[in-house]
Amino acid sequence: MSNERFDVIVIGGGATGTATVRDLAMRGAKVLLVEREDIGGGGGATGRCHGMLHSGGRYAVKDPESAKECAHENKVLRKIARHIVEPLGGFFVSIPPDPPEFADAFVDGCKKTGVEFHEMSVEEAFKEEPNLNPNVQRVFWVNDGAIDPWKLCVLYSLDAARYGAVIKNYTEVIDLLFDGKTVEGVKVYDKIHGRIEEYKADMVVNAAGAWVGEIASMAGLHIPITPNKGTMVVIQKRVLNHVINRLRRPSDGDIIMPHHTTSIIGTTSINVDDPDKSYPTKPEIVKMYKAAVEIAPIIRHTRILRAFAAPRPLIGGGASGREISRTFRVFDHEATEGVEGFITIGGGKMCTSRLMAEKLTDVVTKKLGIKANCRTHIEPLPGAEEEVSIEELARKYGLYNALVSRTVHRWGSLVNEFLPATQKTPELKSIVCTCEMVTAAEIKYALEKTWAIGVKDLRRRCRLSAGTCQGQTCSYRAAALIHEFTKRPVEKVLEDFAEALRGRWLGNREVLFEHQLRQASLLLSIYNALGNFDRLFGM
Amino acid sequence: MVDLSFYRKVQESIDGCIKCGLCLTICPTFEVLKGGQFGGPRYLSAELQRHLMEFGKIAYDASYLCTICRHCEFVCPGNVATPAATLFLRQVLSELKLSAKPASDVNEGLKGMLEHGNPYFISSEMKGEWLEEIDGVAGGKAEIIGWVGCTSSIRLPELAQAFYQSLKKACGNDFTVLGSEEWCCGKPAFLLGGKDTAVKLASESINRIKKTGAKTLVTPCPACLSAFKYEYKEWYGLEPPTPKVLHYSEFVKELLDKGAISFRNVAGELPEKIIYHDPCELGRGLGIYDEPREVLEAIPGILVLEYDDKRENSKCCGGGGGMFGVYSDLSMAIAARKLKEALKMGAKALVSSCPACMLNFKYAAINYEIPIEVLDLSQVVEKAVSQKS
Amino acid sequence: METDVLVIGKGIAGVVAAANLAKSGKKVSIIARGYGATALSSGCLDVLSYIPQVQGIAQPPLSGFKMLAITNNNHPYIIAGEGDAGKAEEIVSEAFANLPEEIKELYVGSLESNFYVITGFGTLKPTTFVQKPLEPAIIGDEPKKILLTGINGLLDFNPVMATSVAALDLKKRSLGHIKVKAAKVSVKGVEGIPTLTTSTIASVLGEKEAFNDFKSELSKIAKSEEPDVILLPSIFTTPELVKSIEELENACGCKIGEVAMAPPNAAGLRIQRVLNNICEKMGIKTYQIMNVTPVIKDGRVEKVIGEQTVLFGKTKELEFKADNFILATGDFISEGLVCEVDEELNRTFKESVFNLPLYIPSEYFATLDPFNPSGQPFSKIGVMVNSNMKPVDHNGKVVYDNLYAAGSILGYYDYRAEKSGMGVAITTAYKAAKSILGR
Repeated sequence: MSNERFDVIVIGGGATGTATVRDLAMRGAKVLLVEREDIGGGGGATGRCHGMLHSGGRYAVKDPESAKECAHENKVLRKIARHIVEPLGGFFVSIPPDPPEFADAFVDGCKKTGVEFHEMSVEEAFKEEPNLNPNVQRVFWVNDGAIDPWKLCVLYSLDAARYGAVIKNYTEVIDLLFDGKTVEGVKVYDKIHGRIEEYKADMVVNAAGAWVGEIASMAGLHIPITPNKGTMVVIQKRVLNHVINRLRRPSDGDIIMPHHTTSIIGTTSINVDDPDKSYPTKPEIVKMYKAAVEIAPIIRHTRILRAFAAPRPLIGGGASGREISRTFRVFDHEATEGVEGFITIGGGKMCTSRLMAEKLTDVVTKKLGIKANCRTHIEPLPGAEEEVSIEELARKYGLYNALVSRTVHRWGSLVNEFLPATQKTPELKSIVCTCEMVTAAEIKYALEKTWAIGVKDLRRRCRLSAGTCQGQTCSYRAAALIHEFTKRPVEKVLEDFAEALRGRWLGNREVLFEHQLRQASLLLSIYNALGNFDRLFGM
Repeated sequence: MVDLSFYRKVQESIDGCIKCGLCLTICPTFEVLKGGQFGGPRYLSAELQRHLMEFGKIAYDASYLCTICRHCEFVCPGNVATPAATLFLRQVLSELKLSAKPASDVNEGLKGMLEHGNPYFISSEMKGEWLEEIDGVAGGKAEIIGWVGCTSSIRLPELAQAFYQSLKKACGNDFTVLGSEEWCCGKPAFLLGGKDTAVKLASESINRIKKTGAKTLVTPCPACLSAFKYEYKEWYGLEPPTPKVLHYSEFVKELLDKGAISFRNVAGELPEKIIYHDPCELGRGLGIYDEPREVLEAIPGILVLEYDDKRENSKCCGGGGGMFGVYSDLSMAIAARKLKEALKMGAKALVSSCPACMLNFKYAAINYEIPIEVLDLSQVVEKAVSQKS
Repeated sequence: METDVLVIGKGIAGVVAAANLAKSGKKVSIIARGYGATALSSGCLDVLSYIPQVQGIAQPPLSGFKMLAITNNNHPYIIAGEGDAGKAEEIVSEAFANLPEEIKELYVGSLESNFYVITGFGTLKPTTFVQKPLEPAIIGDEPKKILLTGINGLLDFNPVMATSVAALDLKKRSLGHIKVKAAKVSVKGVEGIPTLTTSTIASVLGEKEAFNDFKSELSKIAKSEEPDVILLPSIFTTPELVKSIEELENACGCKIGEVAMAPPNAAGLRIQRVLNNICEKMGIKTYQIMNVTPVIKDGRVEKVIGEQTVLFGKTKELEFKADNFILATGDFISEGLVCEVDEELNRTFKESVFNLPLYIPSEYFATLDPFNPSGQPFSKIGVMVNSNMKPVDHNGKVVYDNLYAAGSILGYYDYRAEKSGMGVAITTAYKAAKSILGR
């Protein structure tokens, strides 16, 4: 492997990196993607964002460039990623004491930036959203939607692989390789096999999100990046049918986002020194919670599942996180610092990742003399090609309607890649995750075809352990299947299982009360009182 | 229009599910379907904990697979009221007027109930045939009204007749029935999600009962009893039709204690070994476990056997929650298990005190060729108060 | 209803207390809302396996009491022993000696020693007693070849994983004389079922034909592998099925048993069934009651009032008067204890029937690592009692003169870290009964 040569190596498997790999591969470049953790799960912004398919409304007033980009990409993603997008629509609601003037600024901004919107009467709004705060004064509809960010990265990667790209997760860049002043490749640590490798390429793209500064410093370069933490709180159910935004200057806790079977409340904005140390704190959680209860009082009667935080990669230092533009920048290090073979992309949003990749790929392909047009906005992502009928599939394979519905919502027509196997091997129909309805067939497919290695990866692919029991029923079942299907050594599987539950726990800890505390008690009874894992791992 | 306060109560209750799976060990539908077509109460919870309305639209089949036996609720560490959630789902489905089966069949059924005053698509005149057969007289004014119920009057005339005759004997002219004038208490409609239909049926029933001037209503049907006594007030905002509402077993126990009836030895006229089945609606639903037993124990000449799983642990016969109308095969498959168990215990007859149980057991015994007699409490009592023939 | 003693809760603590009282001639009733942690049991009866923050297993279990008395003298065992480790050992022995026969018949083991049992995960768990069907899963001194045999479609016991994990765990604990191997059987009629549970398998195996197929499949594997023991998932739910194990053993020529599994499983159902039978046999009436509110008069509990509900409506309100009351409602799982939050997400803890004062550790609420062997602070939250098992307040004053508490509702200990749940339940229940009987 070390002798393989690529046209381009992309560092970073978040939305930006995977979108870039896709575009490059589709235009004919030979590409390698290296990601230090999992695709979409590197600890960065992609894996821990709202999953919002922005209409642009949120930026119409203060960040018009962002708004324009979002409005444009919104349409593209609804087409190419149809199956992982929920075209919910969004409401911007004004609840006292939101300043009424902001509504005018909002209207103005939307008109100027081309963000689709229209005002609704409050009565109309309550018909569609009976759980809204009864004190809502004004409501504007926008074209917000929900998209699964992890899935987006996986689908970008699957598509790229179809065009010959090589995808390596759990591969961490430990150094850049140089030929004089020119960057000629990367030195990586393969965490799975425990060995160091070197790969060479004509161009290395630094798409490491909040860590672009760290990677750039390996070339002695400085990127003005401010890691900015956003904390979010996950509620166990859907309480609203649309994305809900507050009609005010973007501030903390403005958004409630339906995401699969949950609602995500967010978010905060706190500059941090070390992007790897982004933890949700109790004061932030309380702030989010109260803000959400203001929007939808029923949230007082739901279960809070967990809280999480991630570092946003904001370009430009000094100013407060909300003032920095969220648009992106391409740093052509050959042009600016005379370092050839290295290019950085910084900033951006998950929902404009395709556009960012297009702009970046234009620059890269020009440098490499590749003359092909971008088609990433036209070609559907894997699984979006055709509609599937939930009831037909349920009948054909003998599965519950709701189970098939959830599975299709995760994979679109890709379900046809793994459901047929259940006819030959019926035990693949067994449900592994009872909260999110994930079959063994789906797990097997994720392990075999989508670079999933551990339990956490399965959560990103299949939503295993993302439900109300937070891994109680399914984590060990999944670990056992990993061991059985992939023959991964049992020590590694146990370690991975422990880390998966520890990861869940870190997110749960601050919000353990009411029924979630009962859930945690049962989880501990099963794994510690019965399983004795507390003493096995402690030995 | 979705009942938001019911929605909230259901949501709060369902949120208590911690996926322990105890419900799966006793759910009758889950047991018979083996977890194949239906994931059990835990599956319902898993969906309803996340987004209630969407689930109803997708899983309309699972929504009618619950017999509302409440056994899951009674074993759940978090006391999750899954049957109530199922009821809510059915109300949502009823509003949606889906064209897919069985939701569409259910809506047809609801229309029929409103038109005919019973869930069996029988014209209401025929509801009095059981009474004509025994030259009984309906109507007039009396202290006590006997409410036979749709299932007994239409499908189990032997039960209706035994009920009538035993109480006529004990109470004479203080007791009357409505005969063909009896309407439907509305419970089947309510159980299948048609609350508006149920309220309409209930109002008409109350009117007809009031015409008798009765102060006490006695019924052999626990579903009707529960409707009159509690659900009318709690769910429809209607007052019970009479100040006192009793199950047949409660009333007979009262008569027994008062000395108003006495039982003779029926040895040789009834199967010697009779096993008692606790109907879900009577037992878990209303907490009436003792009276039927005390009545049976007081009858000389029969030996009353008990299931191991009795009283609040009693296993559902499968006929409740409207399931006999929607999935009668499944109901009978569930009933067959209890019948076979009864046979194994040496019982020659099974007695329950609920027409829905009796109907299901009766047809299950025929379909599965299980040689066991199926009786209602009223038939045993009637024998014990009648002259030796 | 009027009785001598009213017990609230029908898990092992509640029923052991009731049985001890009924045995001595008291009229006892039990009210309960549902099942709790007892019905979720894996089949192990833990007395004391570990002391938090101490390495090594308490062997024999009661030998750990001296250390407990030093590190945690509010531990329910030590409280039951009036603050003295020796007395604590005595009261535990007495409590176990006075267990109802039906419970004694269900379990094997002795207070003289802890042993390892194989779990469905493949890990080894030290415990003191196991239900008889789990006896073959005990790791003893004799060399054994164990065949971990899973059932196709039942994901909770994956024999491939369990075997690898067991091999690892056995090696770590230097138990090389035990060899494990994986096998799988199919049960006819449950192929391709999305939600396959142990109780479904049990009900299928209740049919003669399916059972015979299963028996022949097992014996085929036994013939080719020649194990000393075959361990199956927890599927023998009914007494008839438990009896049928002998038939399987004869066909296979080896011992057959169950691993200790996560719920829902046969073991939890077996113990709960035994508890229900004990109540019936001893004339202890049980009522399904929700929303219990106490009525207090002159510092005593006069009665409790509870509801029977009809689909969110109220049916009967029932009153239960008694001379004495025992609270055995469990911890958070069964909502004997509840944790509420206000708008600022500040927690308050309540004991859900009498609102008794609770011990709440002042340290952090939960450790960073769910696998911290010292346990979780929140697991120690619970009711404080004196040596007579009467709930007391933070000054040690008895709250109500005729109220007692037993089981996991008690505070000051973490049964998950110690592996001490049922032992504490049985001992404190016995002590409560003993106190009422004035002995």
